Amino acid sequence: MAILDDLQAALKSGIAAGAASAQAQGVNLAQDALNAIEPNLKAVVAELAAIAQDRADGNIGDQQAKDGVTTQLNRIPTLITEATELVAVALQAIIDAVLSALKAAIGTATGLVI
Amino acid sequence: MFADGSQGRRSARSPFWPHPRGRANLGRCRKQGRAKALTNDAGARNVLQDSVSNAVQERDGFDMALHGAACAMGKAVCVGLLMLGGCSVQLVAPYNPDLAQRASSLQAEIAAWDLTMLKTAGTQAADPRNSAVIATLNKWRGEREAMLTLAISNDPHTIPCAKATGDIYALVSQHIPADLKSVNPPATTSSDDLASTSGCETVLVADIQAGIDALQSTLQYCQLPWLTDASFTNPPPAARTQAAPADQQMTVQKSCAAEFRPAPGVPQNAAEFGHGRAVSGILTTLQAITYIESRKRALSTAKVGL
Repeated sequence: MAILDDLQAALKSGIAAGAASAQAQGVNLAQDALNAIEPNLKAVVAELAAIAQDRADGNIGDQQAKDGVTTQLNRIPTLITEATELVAVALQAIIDAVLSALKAAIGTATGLVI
Repeated sequence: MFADGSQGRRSARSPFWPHPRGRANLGRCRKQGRAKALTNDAGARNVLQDSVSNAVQERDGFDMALHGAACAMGKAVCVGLLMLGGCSVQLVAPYNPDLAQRASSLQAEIAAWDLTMLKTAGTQAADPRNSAVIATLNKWRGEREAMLTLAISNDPHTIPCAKATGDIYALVSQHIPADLKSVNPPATTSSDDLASTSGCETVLVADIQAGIDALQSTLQYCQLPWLTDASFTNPPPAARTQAAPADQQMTVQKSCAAEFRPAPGVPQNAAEFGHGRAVSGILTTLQAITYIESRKRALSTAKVGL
């Protein structure tokens, strides 16, 4: 059946588009980790060192140092939440690419604009 | 056989496709989020079954409009086309320029405020009882409320953040040496209810509140102990100029400035670069929102280009 062949070709197009998009999104996610996550993790370490130094210098007391450490450690869940949303954004891009390719290919096969 | 047990054709329907009722189905499908059909959620399955059932009922309309090829493949293809054409999978909230703008503006405002606080550390201007400081924090709380409304209204509620972050943490934790692992995975600071039903961007926006609260708590180290609360409630001029014991003022100046002084070694692209640790938490959250929105903007631009 010609229409079945066309639709199977459409499916292949969708899968190919998804694979290409996944590859691109993988690169983007790696870049996101470098741009948005890693610098803030390094900053947490730098802030913890600064707190320790301030305590040693007598600028702050024990309680203020403890509060500072807590604030810094609380930044880590925020970064994990950010990373999770960025993964979801990447998945969205892949799904959009697959659906777009499928719609276009099925439209070509059936003559329907969907 | 139809859902009501009848067989064969139902009442005559419009020959035009999509049939008005079909259009209504598509609208409902979009509103309820087709992505939910991908899950095993019973409600979502019902929506899918309902759509399929209604689509089958629209068979007459299809037959008239499609004229052949696609419907020759049978009802399954028709239904598939209906679903593909009418629905999209929405995992994350779409790009929201208003949210992006507000997050970016608040980020700039807090960064500027931090510099002012560093300059005024150890004075009444930096005391948390100062009406200007209170007003500033309240303004940010109001801004957070407005942003949260935008985030919630945009949220497809497809991926519960608590579950997703738990999964991500489980993946990451496989690579953390055993002696460095904490007993419990880190939890988001927003309310559990919100995190269990909302997307992660909404959770981040909600967490701005925790950042403001933490900042307010930190300001206790900027409080001038030699001034009474009354000094800050419509203070008479004498109270404003009340002399400070030199040693106490030095102590407060040091402890307050420590919170607003930039730490050495912070990377330039970190949220709080050039600013103090007091604002590092809230700036991290706002930077995350801004960054996510910029990625979504790129995605929406790419979709338009397709």
